Amino acid sequence: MANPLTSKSLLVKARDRSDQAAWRRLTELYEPLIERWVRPHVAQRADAEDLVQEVMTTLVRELPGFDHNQRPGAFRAWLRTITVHRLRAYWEKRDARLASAGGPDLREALAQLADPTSALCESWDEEHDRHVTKTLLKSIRLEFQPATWRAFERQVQDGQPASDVAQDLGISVNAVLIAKSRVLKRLREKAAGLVDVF
Amino acid sequence: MTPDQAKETATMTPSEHPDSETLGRFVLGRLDRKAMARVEGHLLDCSQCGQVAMQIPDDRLVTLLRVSTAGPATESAACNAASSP
Repeated sequence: MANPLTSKSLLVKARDRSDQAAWRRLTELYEPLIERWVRPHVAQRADAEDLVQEVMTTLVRELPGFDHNQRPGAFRAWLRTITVHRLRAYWEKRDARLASAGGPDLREALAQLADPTSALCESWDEEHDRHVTKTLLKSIRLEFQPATWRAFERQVQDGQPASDVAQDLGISVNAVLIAKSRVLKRLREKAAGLVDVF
Repeated sequence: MTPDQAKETATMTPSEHPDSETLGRFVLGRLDRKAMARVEGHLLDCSQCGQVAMQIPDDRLVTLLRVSTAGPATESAACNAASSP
């Protein structure tokens, strides 16, 4: 079972600038996602890497003042806004010839990303939620006994009924349900404020 | 504390079954820690509640986990997009 002392969400911990470990985990969580977001919209991989660093620098500066206020998707939308601003600035810095290389597709993408109801925004949001839950799930695995984890995986990831899992693992149905409950509880604590799964 | 929260955190005897809503919140990891421990303790000895809990439908978190861990399709699609000029 998870240690009660670790029940604060990663977002809450990372807002405390003195918690270097939490900040490092937040960075490791988000850098790959932001790179995937921006890479299709810049010319070179090195440009994408620079943009990721600019977004993370903005994030570290602004995070202590970020007010989630229980709004659904607040952090995700805030991160997307920062990323879009950096992407727009990236293109504005380039000369007209290079900017035109981005062409109508880039202009269309930037326009869509400014509209939270657009298909591109919804795609970014969905990718964000999948990436964050998957990565945080991996991060909590060692907090559980292998038997608990197996019962959880079989139900949640493989979609098997609790009765089948219980029979295969030689444990009670209730033990299988408790395993699912424990892991989901811990994941919700960890992801609070980052993904809306409450 | 709301009436529902008060109900969830109230002392639960072995013969006193949690209602289906509380069981649902338990299975999906949505109760607070005290209520989680209380329902878990009850479930250790109550197969009747286990049968009810088995019928609880999945929520968005479970669906997200199932999709995101289903295979490399999502990441490879993203990688393909990332490697395009």
